[in-house]
Amino acid sequence: MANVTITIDGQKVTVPEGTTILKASEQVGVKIPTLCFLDHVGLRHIKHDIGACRVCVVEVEGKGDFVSSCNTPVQEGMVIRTNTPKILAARKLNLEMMLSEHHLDCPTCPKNGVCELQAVCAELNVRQIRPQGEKKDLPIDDSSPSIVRNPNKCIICQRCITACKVLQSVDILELYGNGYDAVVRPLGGKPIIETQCVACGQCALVCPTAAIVERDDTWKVWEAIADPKKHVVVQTAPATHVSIGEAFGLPVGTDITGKMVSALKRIGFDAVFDTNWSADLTIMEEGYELIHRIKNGGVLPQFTSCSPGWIKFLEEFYPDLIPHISSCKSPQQMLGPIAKTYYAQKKGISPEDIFVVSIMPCTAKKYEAARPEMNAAAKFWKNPNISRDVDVVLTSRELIRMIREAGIDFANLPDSAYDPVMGEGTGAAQIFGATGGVMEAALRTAYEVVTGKTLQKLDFEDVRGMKDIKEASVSMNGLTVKVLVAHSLGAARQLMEKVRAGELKDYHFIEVMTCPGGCIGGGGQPIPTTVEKREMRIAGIYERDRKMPLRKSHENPEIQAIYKEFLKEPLGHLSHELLHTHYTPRGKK
Amino acid sequence: MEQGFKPKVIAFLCHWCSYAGADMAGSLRYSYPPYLYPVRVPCSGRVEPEFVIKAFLSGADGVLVAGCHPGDCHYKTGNYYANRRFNLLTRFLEVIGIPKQRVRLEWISGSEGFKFSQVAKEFVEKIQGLGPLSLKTPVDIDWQTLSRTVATVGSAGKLFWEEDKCMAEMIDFFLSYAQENSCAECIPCRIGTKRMQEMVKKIFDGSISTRELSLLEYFADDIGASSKCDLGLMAGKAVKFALQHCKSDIEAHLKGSCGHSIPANPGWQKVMLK
Repeated sequence: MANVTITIDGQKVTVPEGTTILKASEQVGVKIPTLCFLDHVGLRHIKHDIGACRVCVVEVEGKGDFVSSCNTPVQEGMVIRTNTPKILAARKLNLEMMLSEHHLDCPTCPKNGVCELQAVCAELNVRQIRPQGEKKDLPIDDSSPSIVRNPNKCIICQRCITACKVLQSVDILELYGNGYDAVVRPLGGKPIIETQCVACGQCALVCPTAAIVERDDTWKVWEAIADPKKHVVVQTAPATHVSIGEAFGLPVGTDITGKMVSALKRIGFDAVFDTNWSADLTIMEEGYELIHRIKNGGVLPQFTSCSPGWIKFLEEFYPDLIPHISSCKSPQQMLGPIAKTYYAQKKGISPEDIFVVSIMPCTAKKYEAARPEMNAAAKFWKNPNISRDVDVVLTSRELIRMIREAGIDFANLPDSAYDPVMGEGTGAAQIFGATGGVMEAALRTAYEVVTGKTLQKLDFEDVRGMKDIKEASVSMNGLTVKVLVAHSLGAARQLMEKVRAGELKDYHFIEVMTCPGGCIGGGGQPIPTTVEKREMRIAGIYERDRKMPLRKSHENPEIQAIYKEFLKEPLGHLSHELLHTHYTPRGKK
Repeated sequence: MEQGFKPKVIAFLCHWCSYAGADMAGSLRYSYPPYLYPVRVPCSGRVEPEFVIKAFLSGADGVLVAGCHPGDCHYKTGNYYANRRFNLLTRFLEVIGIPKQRVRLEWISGSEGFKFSQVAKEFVEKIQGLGPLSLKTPVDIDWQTLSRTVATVGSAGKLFWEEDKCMAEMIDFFLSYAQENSCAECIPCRIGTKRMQEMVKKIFDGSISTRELSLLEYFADDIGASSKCDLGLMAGKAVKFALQHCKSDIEAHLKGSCGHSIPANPGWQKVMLK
């Protein structure tokens, strides 16, 4: 790779051929401001550098016009100036143009304090808005239970289109129109609920303003907590254990389990449960299902089913492959009905009074909880007055806002323990938050169930990490179980094409997580969620797993208890009634 | 007729029709003077006005452009562009001192070998009659002087109006063109041209202040340097140059009348809008 020597603000620097002006500048202590640029969109190989905002413009000697530094490669002998008065003035004016069309309601905006437009205006000392004119006045789209679109806040950076099209291969967003009236919108201008959107929220994760945000359901929770009749319980997803702390100044990936439980108790929940518990339950049901399919010639490879974005993706684009999906519900949706049956019975509380809230790193979970078939408890009791299995889903971001709103000093909280019945989770459950975690947890249990032997090495390194498709094989009693792990729907699509073509017939189990990195990179996670942060959260996940006394799902005493007292055995009658589900073919292929 | 004068006539011939026609003239042995030098292009629409001017500046005495008959263009609409450009070009040539008889546009099909030989013969004889082109090769073309006729330079396109066009109207039209065709990706073009358009409206109703007028030029300068592609860059530069060099047109509007009210030749509008 040839090297190139250039001059930036009078400093000579030598960089590999193809390096952008932006990256080259970092080496001489120059930090060129950017806005629409995103170095990695979910995965390292996906970049967003269309040069739309014109904030990163620089002067290149010999060229009359400015160039965007984020996507212009350096050339031998280039002389670049990044901070002349003309450039500084141009950057400000370009931002002023953005502000002139924007709805400037910062104090009441969902992204107040975390908005990238705010940040770059502050950084560049923008003190006036000289271009004055017509402001956008477009309708807000809140048709989806998961995300809300406000096109009046959109700066047409098109990061969302890159996320939806390139990262997730769902591709339901378009830039439509010319000039000032152009908008980023769902295909055909339809409300998002009428498109093939899978509600994964990766668009919300990359949006620099409040043009796409998660739906805020915190008011529903405050209302339920205030209602003396309601017994409000909350469950926390595996990914949240290492995610909440970073919003309160703690290092990314810190295990804040104890603090999170304390915060939830202080907010006023009647019982705090761990979705890790129901993740262990999911492993029991799904592990036995896999063994059953292998023994009895069922549809293979089996696909995991805990990621609702992935489920909708399959329903929309690969409905012919629905038989492959495990019939198990996700851990969130397993805990809900158990809370309104087993738990209600144990505690002598009327299921009508139980209100289930879940804290998830995921926006698609809101969609999942609202799926019509997710009311197993009401069916079980034959009582239509019992509300849905999971009443409200809150994303990590919403919980962070509730904690702040309630004036809780999170970083200095003491640790508390989860409540019994559904509070214990093993290390196998904890790793559900990382890509490869569900697979590894399932293998830890399947191995011991099939061979009857104790697993010596619990860590299946082959399925861990940010590589988008991973493969492993495990020998169990003469059978070589072949597994695949994919994360991001772009990678999932590659696998599905292969399954459709019959190329993966000798594989047994495929884990797919909608979000890059797994749930810790979910659409509801703290913003920003960079590739580096995903990796740090993943490290936190495996660190917590390593420290846990119990690391295999079947060893969980509370799981053993529910089978003994209630479910009787995996895949039994009650399991099928409460913990298993069916899927709906949708859309065109 | 100047004896001994061997003219140089460049002929831009489209591959699908007129070049084939010239070829057919050859195979059918229709003769024409040897002073015609054919240059094959894929389509008469490929011929840019610069080609013709460059030919003259390089020593040609005449230029012929030939394409398929209207309606028969291999690329459907290429020859319509050639037609419109030719109309503009002849006006421009007058300005720089090249009589329009030295250029000719002709429709010649692939089977019209005889027609080709006739046109070639006629045209070369005409050029011989006109004598060699005497054109002081300009060392430094003064675009500032030409700016009354040339709307903008420095982008992919060149546009032409008569001297009598009101520049305030020109920039208003230009900005609508930019808005209609802007890909909407970059901020200066998407929003900037809209803001400039809003301010230009204030020129027309006379309500624009001195401060706003200088802001307009400031915005134009930024848009003409920051935009991602030539559409925005051109829009910015066009407004800037118009404000800098055609102040009288702006001032006339501020006083309540249009400085120059003769409407432009309808031909150029069709080029712009396509």
